[in-house]
Amino acid sequence: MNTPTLPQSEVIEETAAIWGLSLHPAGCAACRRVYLVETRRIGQPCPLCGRAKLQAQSALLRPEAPELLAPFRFQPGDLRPRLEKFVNEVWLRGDDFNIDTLLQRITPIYWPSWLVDGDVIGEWQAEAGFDYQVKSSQETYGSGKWSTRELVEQRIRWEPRAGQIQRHYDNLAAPAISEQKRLIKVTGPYQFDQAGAYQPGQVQNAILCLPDLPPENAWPLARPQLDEAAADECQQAAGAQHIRNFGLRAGYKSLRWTQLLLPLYVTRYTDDDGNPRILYLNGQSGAIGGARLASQKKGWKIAGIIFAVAAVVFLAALFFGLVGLLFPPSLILGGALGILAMVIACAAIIPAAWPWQWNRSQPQED
Amino acid sequence: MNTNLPAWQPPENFIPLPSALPGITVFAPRPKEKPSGAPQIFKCPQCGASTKFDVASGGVACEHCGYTTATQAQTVGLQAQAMEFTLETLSKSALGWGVARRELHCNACGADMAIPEKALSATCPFCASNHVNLREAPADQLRPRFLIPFKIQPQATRGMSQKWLGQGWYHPDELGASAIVDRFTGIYLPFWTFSAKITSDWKAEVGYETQVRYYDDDDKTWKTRTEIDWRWENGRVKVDISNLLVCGSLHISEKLVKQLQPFNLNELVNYAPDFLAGWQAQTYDRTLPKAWEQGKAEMREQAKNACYQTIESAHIRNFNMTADFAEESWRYTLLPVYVAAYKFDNKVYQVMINGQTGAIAGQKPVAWWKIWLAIAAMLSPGICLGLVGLPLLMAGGIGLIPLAFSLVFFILGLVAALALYRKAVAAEAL
Repeated sequence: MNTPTLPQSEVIEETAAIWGLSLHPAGCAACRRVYLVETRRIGQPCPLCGRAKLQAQSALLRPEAPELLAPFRFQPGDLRPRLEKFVNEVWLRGDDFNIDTLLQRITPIYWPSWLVDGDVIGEWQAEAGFDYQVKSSQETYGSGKWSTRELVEQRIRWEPRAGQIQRHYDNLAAPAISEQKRLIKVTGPYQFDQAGAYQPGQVQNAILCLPDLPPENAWPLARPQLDEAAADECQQAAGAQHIRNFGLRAGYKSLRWTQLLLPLYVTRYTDDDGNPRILYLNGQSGAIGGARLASQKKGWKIAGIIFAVAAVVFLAALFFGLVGLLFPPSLILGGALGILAMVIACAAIIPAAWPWQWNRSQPQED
Repeated sequence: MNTNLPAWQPPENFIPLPSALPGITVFAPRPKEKPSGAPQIFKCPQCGASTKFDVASGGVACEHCGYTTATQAQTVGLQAQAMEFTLETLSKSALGWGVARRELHCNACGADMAIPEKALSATCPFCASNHVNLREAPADQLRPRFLIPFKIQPQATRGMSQKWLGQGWYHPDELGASAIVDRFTGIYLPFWTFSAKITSDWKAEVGYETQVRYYDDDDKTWKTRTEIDWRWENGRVKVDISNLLVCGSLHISEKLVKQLQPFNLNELVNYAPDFLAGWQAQTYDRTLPKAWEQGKAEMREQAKNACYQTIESAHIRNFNMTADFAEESWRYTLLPVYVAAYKFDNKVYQVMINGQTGAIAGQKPVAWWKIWLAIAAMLSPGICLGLVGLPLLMAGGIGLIPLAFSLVFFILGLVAALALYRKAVAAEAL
């Protein structure tokens, strides 16, 4: 099946007013992401990688405004309890990994997903599954009598079906950014049905992330969505409750691509090595994701302090040991202090090892 | 959008079905042709005489000109498709065959005739044409899908019955010679076959005999006695039961039908009206749910016996079990049986022959004087020895030995006499 003809995107210059907004295209030299931002955000760190500052640049963009937008359901302040829980679960966290800093750096972003409308015209064949019920029984014998308990089981009868299809589908979602799968994995799913018509005023103060998958590249990901919708409808048409081995030889016509904007908060903190670490907050469900690292430096520091205490106690143990040569009862105290020094020294391992162990369990950023 | 779909060739043998959505057409494989439910008349295309299924040739034959056509049925044996107990089928089956249709209009000669209520086939008494599928079952009722054709020729039945009547010493001597079974009627009887896999979990107290030594204070000696040590045990037994037959007719003696079995179900063929031409056939009047209840009762008893067999001791109490049925399936078949009645001493007796294997079962009159004579002979050794032993015992005490023997002989004689009596009663019973 050939890729259907798709409308071309346009290059938007620096100061273009688009989608009813006065936003400017800007990009990150480190991660190559492109955004539409307010002028004041140019020069600020990239919200999604934090490794470089946003610089004004031209962008390849579709001229028509997004069709739908799912609004933020939480204000940044509303997220404090969730963030507190998220942060406080980490022991030995770095100084920069605290709630106030995270809330201060929080940035609202809308990221795009394609909405595809189109006609599916072709032939299909599948196995349609029809539910039916069978009666079974369980017999019980006791005290010389049988009693029967009847059971009804649901089974599926599979039958071949074929036919033609000519149907139109609206607003099937397809990825518009290459990291959509990772974002959804980190922040959890979005309810697309809560989206409403796009209004320019809704994206005030937010950064708009631009698609890095143009329709030409997103088509292989969008087509399965159309096929899946067609399979669902063929199942309905056949009056079946299930469908499997669905095959479709179809053409796709009248394709129309629009965007759905989805809300996301991002914030960041720096790790021991000074690298920025991004946290993602689903603007619709409030779910928080991202790596929350413990500070290995802090761990070493605390381990060192504990070890120093152990050393002091050990020296005291030695002292009392020597005194014990002259005054034997102090040998007991020396011995006890020696054991205590060993216990304290062993305890120093915990803060040293814990960050390493915890950080291993955190999701790795690409 | 325009929903005029372009021309398209559906897969071979697919037919259109109604679609629940506009813009989508639905095609499905053409359903297998069901056996015609329409009444069918068997006439010879050569001479116009009536034709019937001929056991010897295995086809439909004309007795006048010898014209024969082969039947179009395929032997399926145990591969015959078994059906599930769907709720839909059970409700259909429960309907039976609906209102009896007693009148048949013969299209061959125009005559109207009465037919038996459950008959599937008949012969017109005016033009002798054979009619099959007399009763057009409504679409929501079950039809037989398999049958076993007759293999025993009608001519052979008389000889078989005469030989059978001559067997057995306690029947009247003249039975073989004077009782004449005039005419056996070949009839296809409805049968249900049932299969299931049963998983049985059982639990019981099982007793094990142990020898215990004890001191008898009276005898001042050590003795042994048997005690039973009871323990709770449990187990699981899986039983596969295939093709259990339950007769679908309520008007045939179940006892005789049991004696006619087994039928060789490897010879099942797909139902075709040809096999019924000139023969009688009945529809079921024991519905599927009723027959399944009976079949299930037999199956669970088999499962129970299987559980008992796994128990190593004969001492069992507080036995309880569950029997989980799985993969239950059924078939509705017609099986061949010859039925006849004969008169002896002004009484009517019934006899049946398995139309496939030739097994014979029926009622036989009993010469009761022979039975009573035999019983007397069986009891007489014990009584005689008793009569001898009793005066001897009274005379001098030496009669104890004959008396003991008399008791043993009497008990043995009594057991044998009872067995003979029951056998004689069963021979006459239907």
